[in-house]
Amino acid sequence: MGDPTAEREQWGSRIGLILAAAGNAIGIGNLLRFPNQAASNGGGAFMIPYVVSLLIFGLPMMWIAWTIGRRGGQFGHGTLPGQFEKLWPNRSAKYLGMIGVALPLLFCLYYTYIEAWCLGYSYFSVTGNFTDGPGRTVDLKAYFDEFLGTSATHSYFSGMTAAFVFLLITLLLNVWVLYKGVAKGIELLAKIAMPLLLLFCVVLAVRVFTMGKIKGTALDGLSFLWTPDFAMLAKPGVWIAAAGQIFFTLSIGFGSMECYASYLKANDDVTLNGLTTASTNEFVEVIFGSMIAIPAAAVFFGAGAVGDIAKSGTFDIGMVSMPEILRNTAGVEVFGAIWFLLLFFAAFTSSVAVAQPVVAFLQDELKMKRETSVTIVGLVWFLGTIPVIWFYKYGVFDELDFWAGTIGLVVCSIVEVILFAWVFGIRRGWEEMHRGADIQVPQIFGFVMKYVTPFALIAIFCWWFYDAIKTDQLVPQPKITWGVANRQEYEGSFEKWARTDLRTEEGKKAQKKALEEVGEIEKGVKSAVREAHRDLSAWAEVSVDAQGNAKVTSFHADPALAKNLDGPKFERWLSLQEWHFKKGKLDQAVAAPAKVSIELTGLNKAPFVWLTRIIILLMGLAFLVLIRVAWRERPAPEGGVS
Amino acid sequence: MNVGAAVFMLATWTGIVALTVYCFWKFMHAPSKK
Repeated sequence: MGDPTAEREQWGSRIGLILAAAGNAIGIGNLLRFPNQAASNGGGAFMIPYVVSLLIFGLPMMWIAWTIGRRGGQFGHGTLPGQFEKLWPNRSAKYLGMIGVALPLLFCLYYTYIEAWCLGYSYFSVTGNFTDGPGRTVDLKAYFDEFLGTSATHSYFSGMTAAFVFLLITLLLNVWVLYKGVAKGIELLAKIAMPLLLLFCVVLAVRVFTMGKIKGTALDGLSFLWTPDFAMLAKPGVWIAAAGQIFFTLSIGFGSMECYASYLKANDDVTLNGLTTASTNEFVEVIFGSMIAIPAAAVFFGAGAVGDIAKSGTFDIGMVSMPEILRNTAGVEVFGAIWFLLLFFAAFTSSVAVAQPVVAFLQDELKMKRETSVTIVGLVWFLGTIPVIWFYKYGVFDELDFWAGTIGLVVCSIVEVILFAWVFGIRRGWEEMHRGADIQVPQIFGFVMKYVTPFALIAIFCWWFYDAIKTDQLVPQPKITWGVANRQEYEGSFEKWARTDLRTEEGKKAQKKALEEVGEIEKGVKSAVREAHRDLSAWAEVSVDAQGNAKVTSFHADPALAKNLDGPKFERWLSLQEWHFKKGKLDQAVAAPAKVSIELTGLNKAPFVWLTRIIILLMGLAFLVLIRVAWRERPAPEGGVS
Repeated sequence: MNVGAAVFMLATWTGIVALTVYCFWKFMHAPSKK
């Protein structure tokens, strides 16, 4: 082989590389998923398993990724198939690397959609689309559901055109950056986006901490997030959650960081680069991740409500609670746009990093030109994203995230660490890692890489799989979606759990009992959907009085659903959840009567979930075939088994 | 803000800021290879 690096691209500068690698790691999860996970898993005490996970998974895998990537790059391989073969000279090695090309492509298909939401919402902030106006009231939860097309109602969006348009813009921006190449595209983007991202973080943190006191203070939010609950440390789930967060946040275990490192020269440092990438990511996650969303929620909703908001889910914090806060304080056009642009830039620098391995595979292994590679990847990306959008409500997005973002990450990491520490050998790996190193990694990490990381990863994989089986995640279940059709006529919000005091033990017990009965009613709806093998809908006219008592005045349902859900059952279902209407703005809202039309649909998710799984399998097979084609005329790896 | 929360938060933040500053300091003083 001549000089395989001669035709490969290179980073323009070291600071550009660091910013691009940090941009790869820093994503939406830093600002939304971290506070959600910390709040749900012991507050300040969560930092103990979090730091342990950083030491036994995060940093070792980060250094391994950089080392494998740089080594592969010296032989002209930017992706895991070729890079694995250079660790293990065996004909099977390249096929194991398939996962490092298929996973990034699967990520692209759904991650870009989240990025598009952020771009869309920054536009909506500037235009005032989600702020209340004369004769127009916006329920942000319903607004978000309708934007995604998951709601049965159409009060704010008649269809999914807006989501599609923003996705198209986002996709074109990504393709444009990739088209420009590593130095003039990805690196330039990082040099612009990363400083802006940090500036936006500072501006928003200052904004939140100068809001003063509305229902609480920003310090109440910090106090809530950081108060340690040591009893939680006894729960294995908390340790698993911390390990999961470290994986998601550092962008390790799927070939993206390896691809960036492949554009280094043979003697460029990887130890300091890896550590700087991780520390910059942690800086944004732990400091700014806890200084914006949760303190803002504490100011606006009060310390008592911040717990429910923090645990409401990553997307609810970002796309429902934050816009609610921002539109009710001065300057929503500016601060709303800044918040969503911050999320957009965080996602943008990650999505180009995720797509680059796919482009690099076509360039390096199939010898395509960059322009051709990007065009092909762009087309597959576009076509693959369409089902994610159109069938979002049927769980296609969640299914991709489960297999690629949860199981796939761990499987890829297990293969990678075993090949590096056991097959290639930790002694050789350590020498390779320290060639041209700017810092010496403590020896203990050699032991961790060989013994602790692989076994802990296998334990996590087993736990996740066991949990997925236990919670029936592998068997597609129908999903119930419902909404108020004439939502726009009511200025205020439709809420649940008005009477139950969830701070008391009795309140929690009462809610648990009510939820069990709610679950029984929903089970009936789901069972009807399963039997009918199609979506089933019901429509009800409902009156709710000022005391929050709901009464169904008329009810119609699909004949296949009618035997399991009738008017009285539907009324019971609403009453059990204490569903009611509150008139006026959040601060001064009071229970009030309302007459509404409700549409409920039981979605038959199974065919879409199975189709997604088949597509994932086919994509893996397609890459195996491409690898075979690419290696067709290559000699067996030196010292390998043929 | 309660004391336990403040201690955990400040200790974690200090550790992360120190690590990040160390990395960038080393980075600025590393022999120029690129």
